[in-house]
Amino acid sequence: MALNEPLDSEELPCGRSLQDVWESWDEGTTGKDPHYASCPHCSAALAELRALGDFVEQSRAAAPEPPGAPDARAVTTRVMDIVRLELRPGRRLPLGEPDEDAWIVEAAAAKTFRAAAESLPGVRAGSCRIEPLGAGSGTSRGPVRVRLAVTAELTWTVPRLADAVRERVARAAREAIGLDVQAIDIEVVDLVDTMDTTDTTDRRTR
Amino acid sequence: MNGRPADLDARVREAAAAAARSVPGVAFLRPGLSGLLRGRAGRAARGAGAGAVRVRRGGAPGSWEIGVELATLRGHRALDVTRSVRSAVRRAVGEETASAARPAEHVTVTVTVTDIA
Amino acid sequence: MADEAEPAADDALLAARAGEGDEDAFETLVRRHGPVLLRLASHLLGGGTDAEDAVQEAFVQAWRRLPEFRGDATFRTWMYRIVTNRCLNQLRARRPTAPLDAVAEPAAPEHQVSPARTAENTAAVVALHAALAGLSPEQRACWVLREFHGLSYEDIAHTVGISHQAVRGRIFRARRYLTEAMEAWR
Repeated sequence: MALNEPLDSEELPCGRSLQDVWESWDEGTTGKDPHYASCPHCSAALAELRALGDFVEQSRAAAPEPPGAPDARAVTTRVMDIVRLELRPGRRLPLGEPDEDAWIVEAAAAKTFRAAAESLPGVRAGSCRIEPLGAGSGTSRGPVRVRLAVTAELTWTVPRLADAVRERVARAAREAIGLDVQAIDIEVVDLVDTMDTTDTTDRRTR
Repeated sequence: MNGRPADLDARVREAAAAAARSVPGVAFLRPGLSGLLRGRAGRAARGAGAGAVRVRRGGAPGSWEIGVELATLRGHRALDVTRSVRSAVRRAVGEETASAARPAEHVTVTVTVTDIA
Repeated sequence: MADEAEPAADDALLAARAGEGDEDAFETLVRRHGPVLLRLASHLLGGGTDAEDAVQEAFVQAWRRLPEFRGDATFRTWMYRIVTNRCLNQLRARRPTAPLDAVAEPAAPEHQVSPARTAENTAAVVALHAALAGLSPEQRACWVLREFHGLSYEDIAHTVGISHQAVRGRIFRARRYLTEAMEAWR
């Protein structure tokens, strides 16, 4: 139905279609075509569109929804209440010796490794996957491999960053968790001028 | 003291939960993985009262299988906490069943850390 | 033209984490994008609890689908799409057969904006929002995404799920209708 619509059925007396005139306003090309300035019909058509644009501006000015307005906060609360009933813990990873029966879920270990990487200045951690080294089911007991994606400020070079993050992750695996990590792959996704960490540092603990 | 088997199961679960909770470095006990998952399996498990501690009798008489899911506290090594929890729970189950018709002889404790809070 | 701040650079990073089950990362995304998505839903549905419900359900759906989110689009664009689809479905259910692709007579306002907000608004703004109810769901979605959210025609086509050509038609029809509806206020 969309394609059969008569798009240019409305023609101004000067021969231009109203749709073309309005779209060139959208594209900001009306200034390049001298016709628009001299044609009374096109000028009138553009004035109509500008008037509508003024109402939109008034509407924006009249009803700004400031970030964190009451209803947005209420929605956040309701969304997170549902999300916390539908967690995705990931696979179970073995803790300790092969004959021990202790485990940690991937999401919890990933959280610890991301935090360890982010304890370095100007480093943010993204995806973090942890899986048993070698083939095996999700519950096999043995060493694991960590793959961690990071973004960092340009003060870092890639090799230095990878080494530093690897060192932090290894230490966290040993000292904070007790997980046998035998391989750590660091993927440097991006190096950026400055890292805005303002609203992710307020991660709450529950 | 020797109530119905179901009562003993409940008492064992309570004792195991209390023992786990008292271990330093345990933040809180947390509903089991199946309770966290959405979908039919998760709902069914919750409906059956699946909590942070699961108790099952093993195949052999006097054998128990206990599963505990918990969050540990940051600053405590997760592995060390699970070791303390496993021995505390094993001890508690032994004590709770000591006066039962069939005291616990073989207790398996599985601990899963679901969060480091 | 856009009134939205640029989506933060670390949205992709947070979306990846959320997809792996990091609910704190997801909460940051919800807080960051909730207000603008509520604004979009309010423009499409006429405000009120319908808009809140649509955005809430869209975020829950996003949480469930995030493991498959590959980041071909930005998280913001992806959410625009989910919210717009939900709102369109609701609008279509409200007005099952109205053939409003042609310029129609102005319809009665379906939902008044809230009284508190009305007090701050000029009558013309109220009239503009009332006039939106006279548009077909797709016209309304295309026009709102263009004028209130500053999306390009390409992005609107992707968000609404129609062709670029169809977007042009919808926006033109919406403008035709709205300029006429607002004639009296000039």
